[in-house]
Amino acid sequence: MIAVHQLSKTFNPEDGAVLDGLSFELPAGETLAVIGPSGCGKTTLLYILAGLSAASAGKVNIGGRRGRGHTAFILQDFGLFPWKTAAQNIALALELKGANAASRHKVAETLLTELGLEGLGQRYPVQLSGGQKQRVAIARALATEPDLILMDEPFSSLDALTREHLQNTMVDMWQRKGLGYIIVTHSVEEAVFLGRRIAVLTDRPTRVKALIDNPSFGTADLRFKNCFFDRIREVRRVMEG
Amino acid sequence: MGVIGRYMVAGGLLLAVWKVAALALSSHMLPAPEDALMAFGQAVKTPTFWRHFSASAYRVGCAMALAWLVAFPAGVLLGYHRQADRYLSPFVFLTYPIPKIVLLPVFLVLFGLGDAAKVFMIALIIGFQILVATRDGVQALDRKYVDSFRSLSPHTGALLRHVILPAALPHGFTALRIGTGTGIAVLFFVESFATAQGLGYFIMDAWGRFAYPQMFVGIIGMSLLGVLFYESFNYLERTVCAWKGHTTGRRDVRRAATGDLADTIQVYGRMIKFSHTIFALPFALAAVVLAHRTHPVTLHHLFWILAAMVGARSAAMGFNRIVDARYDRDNPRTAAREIPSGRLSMQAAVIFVVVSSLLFLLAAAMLSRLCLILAPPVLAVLFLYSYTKRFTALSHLYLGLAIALAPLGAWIAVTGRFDWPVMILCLALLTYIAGFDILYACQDTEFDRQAGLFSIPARWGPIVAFHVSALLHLTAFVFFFLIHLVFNMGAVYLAAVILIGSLLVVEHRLVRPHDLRQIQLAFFHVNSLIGIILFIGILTDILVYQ
Ligand SMILES: Nc1ncnc2c1ncn2[C@@H]1O[C@H](COP(=O)(O)OP(=O)(O)O)[C@@H](O)[C@H]1O
Ligand SMILES: [Mg+2]
Repeated sequence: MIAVHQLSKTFNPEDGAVLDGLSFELPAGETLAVIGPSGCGKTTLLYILAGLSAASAGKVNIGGRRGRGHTAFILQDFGLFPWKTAAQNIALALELKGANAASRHKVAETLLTELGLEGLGQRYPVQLSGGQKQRVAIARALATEPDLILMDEPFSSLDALTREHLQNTMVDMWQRKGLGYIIVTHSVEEAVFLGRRIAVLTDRPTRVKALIDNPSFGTADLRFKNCFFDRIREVRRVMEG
Repeated sequence: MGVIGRYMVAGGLLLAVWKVAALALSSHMLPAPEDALMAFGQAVKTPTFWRHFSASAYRVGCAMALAWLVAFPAGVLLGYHRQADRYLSPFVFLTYPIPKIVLLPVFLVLFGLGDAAKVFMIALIIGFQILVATRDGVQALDRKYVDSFRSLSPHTGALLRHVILPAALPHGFTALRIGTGTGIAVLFFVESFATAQGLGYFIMDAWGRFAYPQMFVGIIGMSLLGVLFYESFNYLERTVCAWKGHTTGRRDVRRAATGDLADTIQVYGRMIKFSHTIFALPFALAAVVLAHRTHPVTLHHLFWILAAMVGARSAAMGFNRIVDARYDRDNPRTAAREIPSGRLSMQAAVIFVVVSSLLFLLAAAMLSRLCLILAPPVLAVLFLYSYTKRFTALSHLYLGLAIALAPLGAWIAVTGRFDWPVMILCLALLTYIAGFDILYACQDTEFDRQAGLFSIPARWGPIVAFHVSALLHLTAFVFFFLIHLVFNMGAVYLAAVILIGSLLVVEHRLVRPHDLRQIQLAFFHVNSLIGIILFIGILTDILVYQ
């Protein structure tokens, strides 16, 4: 379970607050899509949730199996290290924990297969397509056995088809492993497809404008159903109004 | 073509030029390549040669290792640690422009006349390059890689090992590889006195004994040593940074990124206009050959004329880069880039320009007093080119003028005075370069218009530009022909002029106002041929008829 309470962040006092008393809650294993105007502080929010930067005020609670929950972070373009092969990137978390080569190899192979990347383990990121790279990034996140995955516009530079494939993959992971995620996106369609809840943020100073319930998210052929488009319209109205 | 193949081709060309030069000079100072190679073949069978060779290899090897062990970690530290960088970098950049070689006497006093002083001297010079390149590389690393890693592990040690170090290695290796040339040059210098070991001593000793083939044995040995080190570092780099070799994989790069890249290439294309200066070299050599008829040319002349060309060309290209860098910064799209790293490459460029200019001035001074007096105005003319494209479409002619100074300078260097006939050669070069530069600028028509840069195609469109270019090339052809009359050349040169004329026609047939696909072909093949044909035409003509 994730609880964000009155979270604020100010970089420079003269620029005013970026995040200004942001609050929301998310039950364990649920998924959240965050959508809001560009520059409103979505990346900043994820950095704070990932523990990479400190909040100016407020509280963040990420429950996990053991104490504070462990998060994995997937960035848009710079997630993978170009000097490591796909398999090395995936197994990096294990390497950092001191796992031996054999177990690293096993985990990397399993995850490569799981994400449809058989035979690509020895390639360097530059030798992979954009979609393949993000699959490797997902695999690397999974290898850390996180309680929560944080994604910052992970699919926005991909073509429409690849992007939908990867959205399906995320839902698939969620269904099979009960693994919750928070995805920041600027696409309303993506938010409606991937978020059990959709948090619409205001412009700076940023608060949660609305937390929309979206129980039908991620179901098969949702993209062809009327309720999908109804929900998209609803989110649009909230964003504009 | 493999490495061996490339070396074979380059070696063959080198030998050909050497042979021609040896024939032209027919001086003891420059033995024919086959004589030198024969002497080298003899020398490698003697332990003496290998004693000198290994002494040199040992010194350079130790120096390189020392430089790497100290400078690479230091560069990583400065690049990564902002605090350390803030306090230490000023020291580095304050001392960076000082030619470290001037410290040699101090080193000799401190470390004695043995190997230590020599090793430290070379290590210091190369170490600086490694330090600066590595720091630069680490600072230019995108923060997001660091963030991405921090989300996996909070440990700084692990960050250094998995992110900073792999990112820094290619930069360090490149500096080391490039440093080989400098290292060998410094080696020669430090070995040329106060020692009786090493290839530098071997060369100086042979020179003192007028044993010119032996001198060239030493020179070949030293070149070999350089190639050996260079290729070893190359190999090491490719092994350790294997990921760098895979940049030609799939091209699913972001739209924005490719847009960016295309822009960069175009900006760069504008910047390297001075690469045209390479076509001036055969013209300068042609002037040397013509001058040789009345004023015998020595190896001393040839060497310093080449040094002057290299210095002037590098200075002008570097200056151009600096001027365009400011233009880069004014551009809102590129303004957001890492300012510190931008400023750093700026500093490096300034140093590069200063060193190149000094080389040019030194070369001029070595040639004659008149040359030294003329050198600063020449630099001014070259530097001014970078600005002309901002206010006049006649920048093409100005580029031609700047480049045409090369044969004029070479002539004055050899004869010691100005003569009108050489102006014909200069005007031929001027009109030929201007004509070609107009064709070349057609590629950038759109870019120039947007960027507000001046060029004939940007101002009047490609069709007019093609006509102007053709007119200029016709004029160039007339001047090429006039050289025949003014310098009393024979039939061989006439044949060369006809060949050049046909090549100019070919060039204009290869590219059309709206079809510039062949421009690279025109650029590399036709233009390099024109200069070479002119030079060889003049040289053979003189060899045959005089
Ligand atoms: N390290 C920082 N220092 C100062 N300002 C920052 C920093 N990081 C982000 N900001 C500012 O915070 C605001 C929100 O940034 P960000 O979280 O990246 O927005 P989003 O991801 O929603 O587009 C922006 O106005 C940005 O300029
Ligand atoms: Mg963002």
